[in-house]
Amino acid sequence: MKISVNVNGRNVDADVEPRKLLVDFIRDDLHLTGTHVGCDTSSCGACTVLLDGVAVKSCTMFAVQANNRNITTIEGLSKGDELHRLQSAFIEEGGLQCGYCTPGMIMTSAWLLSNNAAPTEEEIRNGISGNLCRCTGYDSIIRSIQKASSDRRGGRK
Amino acid sequence: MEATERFVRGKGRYVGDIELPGTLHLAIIRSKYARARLLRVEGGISGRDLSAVIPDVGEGARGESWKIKQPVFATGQVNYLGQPVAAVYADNKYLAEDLMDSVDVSYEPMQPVLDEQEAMTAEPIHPGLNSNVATDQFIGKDFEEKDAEVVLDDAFKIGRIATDPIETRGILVNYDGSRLNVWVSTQAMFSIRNGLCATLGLPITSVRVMQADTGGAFGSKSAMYPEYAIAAFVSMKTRRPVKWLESRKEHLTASRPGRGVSGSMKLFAKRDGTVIGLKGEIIVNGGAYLDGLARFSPMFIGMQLTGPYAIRNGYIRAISVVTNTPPLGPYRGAGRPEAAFFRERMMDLLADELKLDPAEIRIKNATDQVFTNPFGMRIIGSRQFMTEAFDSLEYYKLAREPNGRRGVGISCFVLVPALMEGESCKLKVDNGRIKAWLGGNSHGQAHEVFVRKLIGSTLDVSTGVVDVQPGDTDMITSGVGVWGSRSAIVAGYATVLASQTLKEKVVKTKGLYTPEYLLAGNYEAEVLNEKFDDPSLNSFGANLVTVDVDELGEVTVEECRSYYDVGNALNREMVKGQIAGGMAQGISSVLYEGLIFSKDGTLLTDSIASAGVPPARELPHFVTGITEHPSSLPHGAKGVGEAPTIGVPPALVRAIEKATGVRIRNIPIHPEVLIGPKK
Amino acid sequence: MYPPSFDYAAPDDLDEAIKLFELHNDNAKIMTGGVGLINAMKHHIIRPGFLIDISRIRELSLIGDHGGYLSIGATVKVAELQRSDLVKRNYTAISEAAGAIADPLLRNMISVGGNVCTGNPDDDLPPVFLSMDAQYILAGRNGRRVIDADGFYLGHMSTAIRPGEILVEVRVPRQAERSGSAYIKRELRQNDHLVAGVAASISLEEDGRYKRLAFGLSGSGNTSIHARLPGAKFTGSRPIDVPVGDIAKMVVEEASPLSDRQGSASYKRKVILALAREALTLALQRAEQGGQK
Ligand SMILES: Cc1cc2nc3c(=O)[nH]c(=O)nc-3n(C[C@H](O)[C@H](O)[C@H](O)COP(=O)(O)OP(=O)(O)OC[C@H]3O[C@@H](n4cnc5c(N)ncnc54)[C@H](O)[C@@H]3O)c2cc1C
Ligand code: FES
Ligand code: FES
Repeated sequence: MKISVNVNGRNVDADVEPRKLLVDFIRDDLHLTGTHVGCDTSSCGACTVLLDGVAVKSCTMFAVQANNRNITTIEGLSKGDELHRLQSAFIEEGGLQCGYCTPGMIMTSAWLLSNNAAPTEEEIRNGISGNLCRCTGYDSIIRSIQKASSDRRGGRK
Repeated sequence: MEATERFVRGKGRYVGDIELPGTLHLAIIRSKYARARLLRVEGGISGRDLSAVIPDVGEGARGESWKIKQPVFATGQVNYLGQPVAAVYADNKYLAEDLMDSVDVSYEPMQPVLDEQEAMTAEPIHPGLNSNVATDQFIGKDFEEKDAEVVLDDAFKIGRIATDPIETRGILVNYDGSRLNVWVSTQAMFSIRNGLCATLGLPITSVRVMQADTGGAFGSKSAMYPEYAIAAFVSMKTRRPVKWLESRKEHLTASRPGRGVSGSMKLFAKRDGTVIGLKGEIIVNGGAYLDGLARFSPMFIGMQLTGPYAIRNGYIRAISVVTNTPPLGPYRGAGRPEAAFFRERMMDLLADELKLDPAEIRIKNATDQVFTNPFGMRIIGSRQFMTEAFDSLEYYKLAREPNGRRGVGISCFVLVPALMEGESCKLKVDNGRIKAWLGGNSHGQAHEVFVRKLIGSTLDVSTGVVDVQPGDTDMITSGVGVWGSRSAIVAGYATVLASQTLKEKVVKTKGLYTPEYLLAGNYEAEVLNEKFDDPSLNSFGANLVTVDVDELGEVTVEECRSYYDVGNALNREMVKGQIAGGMAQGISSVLYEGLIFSKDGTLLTDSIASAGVPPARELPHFVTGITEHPSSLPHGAKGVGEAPTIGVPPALVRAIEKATGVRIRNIPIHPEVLIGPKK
Repeated sequence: MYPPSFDYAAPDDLDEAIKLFELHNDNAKIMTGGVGLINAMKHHIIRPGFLIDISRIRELSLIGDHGGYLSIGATVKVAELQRSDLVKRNYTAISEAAGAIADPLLRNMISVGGNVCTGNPDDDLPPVFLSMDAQYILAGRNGRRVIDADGFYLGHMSTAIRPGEILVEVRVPRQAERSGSAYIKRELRQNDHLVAGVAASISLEEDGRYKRLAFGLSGSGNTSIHARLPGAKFTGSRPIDVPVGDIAKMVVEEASPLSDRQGSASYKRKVILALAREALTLALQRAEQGGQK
């Protein structure tokens, strides 16, 4: 089936089998391998991308469902060499260890901050609960998001 | 680019991200039953095409495997749910999965044996054996019981847990006509290399293993597995690259889980609280096929049962059994948490029996000097550490606060790092830069940070000139792997020794050492250090946990604190990050996690959510206190990685016990056992 | 872990969807969010030959106040329902149930239609709709029909929806003045099966007596349950005369939980009792504070 999607600002026309999951379209067809897969039950959020600005699990959608819509993946978050403030905050606050959950976690955080510029710790804990991290115990991730949030309010990009 | 920057940019290179043209994708047909006769396998590749067994490599390996060996493909009988029966491959993973239907397998189900206690008396699961008991040994020495004024006994059980890294296992093999080139998600590339060679009968030189970025492991990624051999076999057969990525469901059934241990303990003490001896029995569920780790595990647990206390007498029966579950693997702590749980539960029981404070009874049994326990484990003086720990954790303050449905618990333990076989490091100076390779590499611990720091400080160079290279068995002669809280100690020491060797080489050629001479030349050094004999490497730790338990038995962890002696912390923030992550696993091993089978052997916890990996909203904020008493090694390192999964569970369980009045013997805990008015 | 092949259409017009559904009825499925379907297809539990994605049909995506009732389109995402001020204010339990579903990301994906049409006892919205006397509007070849939520849930994964019918809208009667509602659930682990959930929806007479009280239960039997007994028994009583605990006990009588990994049946009854007490207390407070605005 022919679809047309905008991925990270770029228009992509493609012919996909209806059964192809969005995550496989992103990874295997577009070679954007920053979006990961960690489960087969929609539980882990390693596959999180933004669909028209809203965080969703790309393993639980068919690529055809994204027809005529905008997708942002982790690769589309930074502007060239310049990291998004969430990406820098994750580095500065040690919000990652193995890094496997990280792209999904950052995409969810981006969506979270787009709705709530200054979330409380509890709002962050709830907000990132669709994303599992096995390494960090989440504290450092929460600090990273708080840092990005205050950087933004402080005017840092 | 730094690894962390690659990761936040989505530029990691995990196995699944590596693309080779023409890659075939493998799908594995697995046993639907925990135990069954395999009547027919038609189609795909199966035991008829590849008849081989998995060798004992990786964490805890003992060289040769047990008399019943794990086959690559089951033939005749399947012995655990998820055991490989056949495999198919196709140009993409969707097509490979479609092909699975083309393989015709028929089974005659049999009654499985799923639990270690049941295995002791059940009919043997493997034909030709007369019992399910694989090893049965006594450690320590029998002793007179008559001096004891108090004798307490109790029995405990710790359920099986999946390691559940967010990246599951995966491998990509490319046979180029003469060699197998392997990219794999692993903790131990040399184990995979040696494992592939042994399984497929290949010379060591014909396999090159490269560690891809590895998305966590927690124990399950050091062993050799059937799927790796199958992927290599298919690549050799088809002359095409072959990729296999494990699904989560496969992870939960066919990767090696940890824990699964029963223990009965008898503690002998004086009325003043002095423990004079310990007897007991440990039974480890080794799974369907036992490797060295499983067979050694009951003794490893038994040996640590005295922990930080000067308990002079000990006599433990250590048993491992086979069951119709996946082969046991290590899970963060691997025997250490079991020992701490059994012991600390008994210390709390003694405190209650004698109406003494749990902290007091622990300090009372501490030692001021080096102490060798009845099983040969050595520790340094523990009393001062404990005294400091309880203060730093604010135990006395918190224990005095009114409790209601709230409770506070503490624990003390010794972290015995896995130092055997040491580790290797190779350094090469070229073009003004220093390249470093390790025998065992990071899967989330950021080895590059301490490697750079140690090279920088030993050689007096800027850490900016050091390039830590990804793991590659072609680039270093030998190596071991990353587990057992060992890396900072063994890999760190190897790095120091290799740096010193470089220094000596500079001195030899130039007469004296300067960083400029070093960087201007071409030098190479590789070391494998093996000998560690220092009780100070067995480090102490203590935890405190407070909880609130509601009327329906739901536990809320309010405070979760550590006080660990981490030796010389090579990077404090990273050490604290390791501790927080481990504490989360410690909590979830008590409250959420477990692999639960129905009686007929169906896995009931078949998603990462039902297996209990908790999201942020189910966890508290962690207080990661550390203290630094350097070890005797030149870089002063001690272990830390496993400390929290050892120390948190007994403290948490005690806190719950104090909150509810319900004595807790088994983990994980279902809220149902905690409901009702406080007893 | 990959779905078997199927054909797919995403009409933007309801009539077209109905036509397609009729044409392929033997092996077609309606898809709204796709979360339930994709999971079942990945694990090869179902193998539909045709998916009709109705999420692009505009008219099904609205939440609106229609005077006599609240209208919720079938493709409304549960996250929108959770956030809607209108719903929060006047139909609090709906917003609470929507907010209790899965996790924040899945709430951006799961739709009301999927949640309501599955017939899974664990689903969070049906008990609330039951407790509020909601109606489901179904569209098919022969036009539309209205069915009470009350008669919709027949058994495990079984509903009164007929072949070829599409749920297009949920209508919830306008909650009278002095009404209040609440939904509370217990789960041991997020995204695992739940232990149980209770929805309470009540309204009070001007003099404070119970005018209506109704409960819905999740995880308490083989499908969503409408617990009617308390309504029949206590309508007309004054809240101070009937202890909340007595009413809650009656709710438990209508539950038939099964023993499983989430707990024994007797444990679940204790949970339902406690949740019913808590939900009723909250609903009462809300009703006494004025209810509908
Ligand atoms: C990880 C996970 C966690 C979950 N947690 C929760 C939870 O906490 N609480 C909860 O309530 N639910 C939960 N669910 C279940 C979820 O709400 C259901 O699977 C729901 O069906 C998903 O909605 P959807 O819009 O994605 O449905 P779809 O997948 O699109 O459809 C689901 C079913 O409903 C049918 N259907 C959908 N729309 C219509 C319609 N308009 N007319 C007729 N039939 C229709 C479909 O044919 C299909 O059979 C969870 C699911 C997952 C995977
Ligand atoms: S891969 Fe786990 S939720 Fe998508
Ligand atoms: S950093 Fe490893 S899973 Fe989150």
